[in-house]
Amino acid sequence: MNGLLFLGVSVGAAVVALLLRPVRGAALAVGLLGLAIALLVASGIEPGAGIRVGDVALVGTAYARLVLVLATAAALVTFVIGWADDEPPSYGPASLAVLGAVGAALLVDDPIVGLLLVLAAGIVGILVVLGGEGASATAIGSTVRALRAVVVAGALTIGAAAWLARPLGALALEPAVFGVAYLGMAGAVALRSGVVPFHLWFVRLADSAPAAALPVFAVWVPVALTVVVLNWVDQAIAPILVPLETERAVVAVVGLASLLLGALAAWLADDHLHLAVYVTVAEAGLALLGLTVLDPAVWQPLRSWLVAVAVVQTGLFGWVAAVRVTTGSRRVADAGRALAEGRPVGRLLGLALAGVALGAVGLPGWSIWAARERIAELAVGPAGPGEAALAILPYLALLRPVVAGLRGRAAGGAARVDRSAGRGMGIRGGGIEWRGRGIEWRGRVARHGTPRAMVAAIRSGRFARTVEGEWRRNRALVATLGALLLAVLAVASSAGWLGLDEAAAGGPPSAAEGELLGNGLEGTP
Amino acid sequence: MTAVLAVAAGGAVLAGAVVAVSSRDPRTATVGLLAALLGIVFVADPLPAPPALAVRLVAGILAGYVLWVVVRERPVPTAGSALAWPTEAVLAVAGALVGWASHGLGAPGRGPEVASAVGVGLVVLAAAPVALGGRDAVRVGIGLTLLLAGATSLRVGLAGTPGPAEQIVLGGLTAGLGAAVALLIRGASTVRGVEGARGVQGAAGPDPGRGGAAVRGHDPLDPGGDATAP
Repeated sequence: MNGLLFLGVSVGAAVVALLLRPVRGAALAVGLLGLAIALLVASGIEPGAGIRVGDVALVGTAYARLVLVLATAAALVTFVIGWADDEPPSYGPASLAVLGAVGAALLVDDPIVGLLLVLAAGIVGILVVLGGEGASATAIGSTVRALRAVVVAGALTIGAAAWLARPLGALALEPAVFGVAYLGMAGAVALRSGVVPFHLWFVRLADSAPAAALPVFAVWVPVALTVVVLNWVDQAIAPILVPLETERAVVAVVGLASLLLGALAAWLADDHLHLAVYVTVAEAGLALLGLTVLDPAVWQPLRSWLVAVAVVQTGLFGWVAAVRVTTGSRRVADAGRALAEGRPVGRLLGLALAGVALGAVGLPGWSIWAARERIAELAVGPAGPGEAALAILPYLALLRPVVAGLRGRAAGGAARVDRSAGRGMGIRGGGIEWRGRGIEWRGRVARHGTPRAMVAAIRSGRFARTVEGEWRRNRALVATLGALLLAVLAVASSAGWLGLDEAAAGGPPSAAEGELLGNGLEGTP
Repeated sequence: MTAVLAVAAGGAVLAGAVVAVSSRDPRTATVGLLAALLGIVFVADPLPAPPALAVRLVAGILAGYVLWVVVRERPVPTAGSALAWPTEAVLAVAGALVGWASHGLGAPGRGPEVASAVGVGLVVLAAAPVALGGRDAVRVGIGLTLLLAGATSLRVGLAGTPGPAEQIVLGGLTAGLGAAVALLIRGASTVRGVEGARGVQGAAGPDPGRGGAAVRGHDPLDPGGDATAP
């Protein structure tokens, strides 16, 4: 029941916020409130409880609940970071709509309908990317590329699913028949995730889209697609017990190439947004490697790893956006200088980066560590744990800003970010000052303290100007705290403190196990 | 009766699709696309249940309408087909014949032959706009809409008429894709005028508009801007 409510809240709030788009403040408020309510509703999804909608059922699972809670929380925080980054307000409601479609895809008991819903999420995500009025010609070109990737991937999934949905008859004895469907589905995941060599649309998109909005479109939707494809593989391919060695080898080569080349490109990128993009591309390669395992044993580790990595990548994009708000630059070197300056916001950014790195790599015994080892072991054999180290290669690039900062400190002593280019105010003034700003902010509100003075201030617009001014002054700090929050979330997910492993071990949504409500909402256990 | 309707609808779909991919006037192309989107709903045997049929029809009308709203007032010429409509028509018919002949692809299909024929025909017509359309928002958008319609028609031919829930999701997809394409066309025409809509002079470089210029340093996996790569 809460699954349907989640869908209703997210899509309803998205529609209201889009209608209110001309009034920026109202659209932001509805987007924020909608995400907060959606988060509450997602946390109330009951595993096993469901509702029948036509010929399918929306059935809650612990895994879907955890994914939706994490995705919505991540979207909420990135929305605030994007707000601090002066991004258009329309991407909040668009994120809500995407999350609604993702939620429906994870809750529906029919993988084919789930695949269509993921496609819908991708198409709605174009609204996230376009970001409302004023998109540039480059943004339009990038979005055309992205839409092409989304729809072609969707067409591949529709074709592959239909291929095996017909009565196969004697063809059921031909492994190649299943190989074609498997390749189609893996190709769709590769295309939609931006795996090398299908990564260009993603790189171009990152140059145009709000950095804080990218995770919803380019991380969580591909994760949902991979999860639904895994459901489909589990139902349509794995039970057939055909080895599909050639097909799996092709997919493995693409996945491995993406992992290595993405890691290399992330290391060489001078632009920290591109660094984050290539880390995502590299990790998508590992997800593809996971799909080469047709053994049911990969079910839990792959599902667990996908979510943990999605939270980590969201944290990385949040960090990138926060650095951009703080320094006004996308250069890795400038990010390094911000870290090396030793000012409070820089220290917090460093802490957030460390948290993301810790979440990405994990520690022995953590959920992400065990999942990565298990996936590698199942994909490449007993030597797997050694190969699991390959999966953390992309995150070596996170050392780049640190190295750049240390180098800048060694070379220039008091090297500082060019504040004249900065959009944010956060690193100006040092720690005492930002703490002082907090006190000052409270003082300013207190100045309107009496009810009469408050009313007068609101009427004259002085109160709004005060709040607006304080917001602008502190937005770098807000963005940095958001990045820090995402880093904490990444560590908690990777460590398994949120019950990720138990949730991932559960089965797909199944109407047979659910306590379903009919269309008339009458209980029919 | 349903079979006859399906064949007639299939013919209308392919004719509309040929107009949509060939025309250099986006308004004419939109009318052709609308015909294809409405006709494709009837290329099924059995037909979807009336509520599902209504949802698909409304979705098709909505997709066509939002496109029409955008193109009727804005000068958004599109390159159209380099092959001209007779060649596109021949390609569509050839694709349809291949689809009809290979219906079921080695196994008995659950849907009618005409669905496979229309599916292959639409995919053939969509291939060039999708693969070679560059940043021409109108052409790529029409190509993608036809590609999605073709894939769903192939699905009908292979696996039969989808259930009500899938029909509703397909309707949402059609309307959503129409809205996304309309937004793209509007953005292209607003930002760069005629040239922006055609995309031929769209800047290939990074967008400096969002939070500072992109850094074009070492990026071994990015060969630079090109008009056609996905």
